[in-house]
Amino acid sequence: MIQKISQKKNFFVFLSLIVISILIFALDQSAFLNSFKSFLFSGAKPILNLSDKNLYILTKPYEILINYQKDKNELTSLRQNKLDLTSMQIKINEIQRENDFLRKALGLKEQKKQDFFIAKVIGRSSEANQSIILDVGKEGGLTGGETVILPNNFLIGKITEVYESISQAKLLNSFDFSVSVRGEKTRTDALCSGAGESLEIEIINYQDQPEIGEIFITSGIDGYSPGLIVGQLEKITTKPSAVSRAGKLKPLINLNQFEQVLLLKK
Amino acid sequence: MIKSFFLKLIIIFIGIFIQFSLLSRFGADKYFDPLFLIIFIWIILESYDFIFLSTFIGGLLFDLFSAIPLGSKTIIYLFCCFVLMLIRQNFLRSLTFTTLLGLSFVSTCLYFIVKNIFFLILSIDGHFGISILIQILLTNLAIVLFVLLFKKKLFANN
Repeated sequence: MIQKISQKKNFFVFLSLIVISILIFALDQSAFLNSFKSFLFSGAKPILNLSDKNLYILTKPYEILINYQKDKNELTSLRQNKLDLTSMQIKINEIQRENDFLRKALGLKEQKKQDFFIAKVIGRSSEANQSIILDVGKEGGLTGGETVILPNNFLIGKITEVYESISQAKLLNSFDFSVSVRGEKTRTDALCSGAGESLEIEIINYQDQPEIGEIFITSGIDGYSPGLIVGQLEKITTKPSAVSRAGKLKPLINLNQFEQVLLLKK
Repeated sequence: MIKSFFLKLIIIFIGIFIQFSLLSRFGADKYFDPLFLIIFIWIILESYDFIFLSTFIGGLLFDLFSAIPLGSKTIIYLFCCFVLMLIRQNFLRSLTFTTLLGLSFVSTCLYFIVKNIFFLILSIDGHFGISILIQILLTNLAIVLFVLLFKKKLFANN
């Protein structure tokens, strides 16, 4: 008897909380809870920052250990590439000088340099690794839609929600993220969209022949700055009946490991 | 009762802290879910006071920090907690090592299948690849470890 009453009570509590959860879910979808979320985040921010700093000391040795072999191989290949890059840098400098001279000669304006914010990652979607929470919000001057990159010009994602002191960014591999890209060598235009672990591209012109291993960068036609690195072409899939061709891009960076990002102003 | 609630809250906070600080650093947060483990342990220890409320708060905190729609993981946790509680109360009044392992396997399968179906519907990141097997295996291993550590307390009635 007591057990039945207890079960009934438990069922009632369960049902009420499920209804509340569904209600919260629905309200969150229609952005009704933004101010509430903003309030909760402001409270949690110091704790997140603190835990991040303290735990870094704990996890650093482990990271060093697992990255040792990887770093060693990388170092060898980097040494090999260093000489090539040095000669390439000299060539680029020469071209830059020539370019500047020609700009002046033709009376063209200098390209506008983009301003940026620096933001720290204070939270990330553990489920899907598809979004991150940054410690800059409206107070820091964000308005939403800023491009999120790494200092070495890798595209990370885009700011989708801005709260008072924090903001949320959708990552490159997020299912509802898409960006117009271009093959660095073959100039193949394509539309890239997130697919969880990897990125998918749809090649616009069927005649284009991108190469496997080719780096794809942002084309700049859809509001993103041109030249940001998106990923490396891993696979091309061609169906005889299809009008366009698809492919798979591998992001060149680990979307789970960076701690600071740059936000390019619109 | 209130003491038990606060204790549960503290455990929830520790679980969330581990999930978002320690596990996310190792990249293990994809394969392991401390909050589900905590709920499972409460069920096998028959610690039912405020279990739903604690699960609800834990789920909301999880959703908040993992930047997924608020309430999505909460619904999954609550559902799994309810089903597990029903099984434990109606079919597994006294536990043996084998029944516990069975319950552990069934519950982890239930949790990960419900979660992935729900996330597929929401287009967050539902997937049924090899990672789901790793998730089930790791969670079960953690449960076995817990059972071995607290064997005496768990099977004291048998």
